[in-house]
Amino acid sequence: MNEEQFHQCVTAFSDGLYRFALKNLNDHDEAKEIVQSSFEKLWLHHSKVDAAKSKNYLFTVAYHCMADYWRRNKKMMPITDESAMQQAAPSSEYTGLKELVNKALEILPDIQRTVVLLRDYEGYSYQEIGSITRLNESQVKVYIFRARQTLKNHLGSMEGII
Amino acid sequence: MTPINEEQSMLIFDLLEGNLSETEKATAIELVNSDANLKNEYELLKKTYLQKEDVVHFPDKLTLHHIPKSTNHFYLYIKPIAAAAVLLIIAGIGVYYFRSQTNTINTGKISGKTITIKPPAMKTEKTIPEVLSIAPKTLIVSETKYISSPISAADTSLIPFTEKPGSNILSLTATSPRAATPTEVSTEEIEYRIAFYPQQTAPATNRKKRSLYYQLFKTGRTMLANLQLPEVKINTQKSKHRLPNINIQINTPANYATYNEN
Repeated sequence: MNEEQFHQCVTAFSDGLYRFALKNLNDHDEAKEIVQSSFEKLWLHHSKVDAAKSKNYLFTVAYHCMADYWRRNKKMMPITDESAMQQAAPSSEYTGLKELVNKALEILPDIQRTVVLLRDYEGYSYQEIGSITRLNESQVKVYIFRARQTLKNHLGSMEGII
Repeated sequence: MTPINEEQSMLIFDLLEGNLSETEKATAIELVNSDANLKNEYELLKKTYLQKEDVVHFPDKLTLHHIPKSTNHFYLYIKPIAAAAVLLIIAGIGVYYFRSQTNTINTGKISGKTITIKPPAMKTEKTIPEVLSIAPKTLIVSETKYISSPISAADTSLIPFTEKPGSNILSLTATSPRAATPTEVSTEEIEYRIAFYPQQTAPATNRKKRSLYYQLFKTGRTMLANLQLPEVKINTQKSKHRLPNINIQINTPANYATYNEN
């Protein structure tokens, strides 16, 4: 990858990478840090990284940075259903389905949220998600299925309230 | 309305995920449309999909375009370099320790080789004045002199004199008295000590080694002192035994002349 290709990567993938980090961490500063670290690493190894695979490289680096962050902050601990529901309950500023889904994302376990974000926002296949998260295709599919079920149940209950 | 089972949930999931073939997809759509409960499930599950249009802009994009002109490779590789340095230091300490150990502790190596050792320049023992007074060519050593040396009676029997008293050529062979036991002694160490530290006592930790040292010190020392030979040639042989067979050949000046020519 040359310098020009690197700049193209910044233009093409920085927003998506930031969204991926932000939705996962719900922390603007940390998400910025992760995006910057990912691009720094990309440039550091630009001679070894194929330009065609730079997006995968960036998301893989970002995922591992986030995994470190979760470990540091002990966010990998499972959230109890009750506290999760309270956390994800619609606020008074509720504006619609999009916010409701975004809120509901927060109740998901980290890995389920990650695979759903990669699937829906970036359009990655199960195999590509597996290579980023070091899971096999079956595991990815199961995680996505469980995440959808959780989101669906949550949306169903919220619709009743709303 | 019948509750939805897991198989139906999976079917709807696969339908939305695009995991079905065209035929399966058509069948699934027909099934979903035929059942209100499935239709409701389908619609609800569809809402869980995030919209790609939900764009978030990275605020510091300009900073990402900034590329440092030069990368300091020293800082890049500082950790591997430090690790390598630590490993080298550890290896160096290990080698130093090992080598220092081999100077004092038996290594079990017996190498068959011939080493020529020059006698110490300073000979303090002058126990046989008559030997000193004899010209080198007519060197005479009596058997009595050796028997009276510090070598024990048992050891003296293993040091036969092949030449009669009065001969001008002396060949002396010393054989270990413990030839039947496995070998453990470093002959290089013995030779070194004989050559440079004839008066040093052997470590007391290994009795057999100490015994051999003592014997060799006394033998070598006595020979050097008594015979006033210019050089002593010590031949060591490979041995499966604890104490190696040690042949000590003493060159008289006549032999020494031959030796030098070689």
